[in-house]
Amino acid sequence: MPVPGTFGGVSGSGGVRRAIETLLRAHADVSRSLGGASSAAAVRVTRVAEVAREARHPVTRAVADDVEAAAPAVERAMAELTAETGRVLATEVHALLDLLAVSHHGQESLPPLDLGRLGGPGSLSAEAFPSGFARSYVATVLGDLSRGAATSKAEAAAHPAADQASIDAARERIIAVVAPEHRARVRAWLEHPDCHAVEIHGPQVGDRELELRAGWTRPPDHGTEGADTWQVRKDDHKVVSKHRAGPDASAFTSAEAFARPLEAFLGVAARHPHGVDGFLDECADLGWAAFFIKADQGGLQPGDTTARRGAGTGTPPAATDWIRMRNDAMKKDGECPPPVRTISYDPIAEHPDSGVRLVFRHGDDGWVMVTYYPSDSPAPDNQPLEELT
Amino acid sequence: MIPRSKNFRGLLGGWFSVETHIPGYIEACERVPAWLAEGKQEIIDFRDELAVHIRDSSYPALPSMTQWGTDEWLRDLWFDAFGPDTPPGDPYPVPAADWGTTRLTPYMLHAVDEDDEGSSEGAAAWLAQRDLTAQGVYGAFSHEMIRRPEPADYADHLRRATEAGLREDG
Repeated sequence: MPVPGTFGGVSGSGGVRRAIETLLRAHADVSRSLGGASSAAAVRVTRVAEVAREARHPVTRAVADDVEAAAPAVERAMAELTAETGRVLATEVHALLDLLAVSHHGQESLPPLDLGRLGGPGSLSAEAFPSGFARSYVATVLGDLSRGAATSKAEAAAHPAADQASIDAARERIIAVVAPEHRARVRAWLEHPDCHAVEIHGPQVGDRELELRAGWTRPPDHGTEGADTWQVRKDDHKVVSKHRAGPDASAFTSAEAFARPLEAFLGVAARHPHGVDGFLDECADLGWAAFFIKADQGGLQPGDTTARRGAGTGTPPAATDWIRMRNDAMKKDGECPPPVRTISYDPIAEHPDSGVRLVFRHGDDGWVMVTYYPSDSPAPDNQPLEELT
Repeated sequence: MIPRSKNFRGLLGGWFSVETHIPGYIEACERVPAWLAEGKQEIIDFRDELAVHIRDSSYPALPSMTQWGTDEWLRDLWFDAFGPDTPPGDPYPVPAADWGTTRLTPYMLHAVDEDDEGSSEGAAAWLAQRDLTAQGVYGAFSHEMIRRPEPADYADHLRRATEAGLREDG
């Protein structure tokens, strides 16, 4: 089945994913329009019958009765059409998932689709798909599609630059709520030119900035001094940037939320016999240390963080597929597919293992805080702060 | 080899954690040749232990991933950090022609662009060491990416390694 507007002759796992998403989205659109057409048709038929009756001629009255009698049949026919569309699309999606399972994820071929569990006319239930990989994939994509949004390259390019004054104000608010004994150190960390924690993850960063970072790698501090010179190139609309972003972009929603996990970290680190620097020296490997502060240890509650993630990036392989689709979408106009979709979420509210990732590196001028951001889980082998206390 | 060493965990969850901080990962992959030339023991040990985890499937499967998928994730890290030579003892070596064509690694996806202005400064040297070109990798962003299926004898491989005490059954 040809899928318009997806990938020019491309059949990699990103292409298969895009085809599945396009089909599921097409199903939602078709159901909507067929559902609308069905009720519109019934209304029109009834209206024809009424007009015919108004003629008050025996023959037209008989026609009117015939027409009216046909109305439920029209409705039934439309409903069958909708159900048939659902079956056709579900079968196509199942075939593509089978392809994905076997050739891309190294799994067994999928058991057949259960057409009896597709749901009523116009609905497409994940229950119809075999349990395991296929069902969770469809459920993830269907769930994400209903919430996911795509922003065009042109909209990303037109988004206004960040305001240095609001970044500086956010940094001052954070420093002001940190315990007095830690203020000088936190100031030194957050003001260091190699630290972008406030610039990229501070409370002044809004949902739109997070969406553009995840979707187009546009840095939230774009346009300020020292920020990456991300741009959509004028002549060919290629995205050119050295800002590196994963499938997730997150921020703290207040100065207090930003400060609390950092204070929890400092509370632990400062107890080291040689102080915070001694703690970092001990935890580092080749001058680099990455920690994970769990939400409860960091005093974070739902609402303290906000994020955008790529739609359907629940596992590392799915995230890699998605990054590749994003890279592809960032190419020149004419050779790039449509933008990827992102979803707004609260990592702390939605994930039991959530918390904050915190990274330091040792430079010529001592320890520098490289990054600090909310996340739905620790990365593999990040050092859990709770095991260091 | 179980369990993994502190040095290994520190470097895997630190410098080499692309999930945590992409610029750090890119820099680490680019610095490996210099670190090895300086005889940095931490990197030599990390390299040797990484090869053992790949050989024995002894790195615990990541959440919501299979052991095979986890092994493949480590093979990508090996290529990014230590280059195109197969890790010693790898029972399922990646065909050399897959890299940068049907198999894209985190370094390729984040550090390589067709233009210098979008590429990492170390990308040209990194690509040359692996006999790849920026144009080739950039072109592959629009093409096939194929995950290798779990080999037919993989269950046997896991059983043997578990019975030999080289890994824990997860």
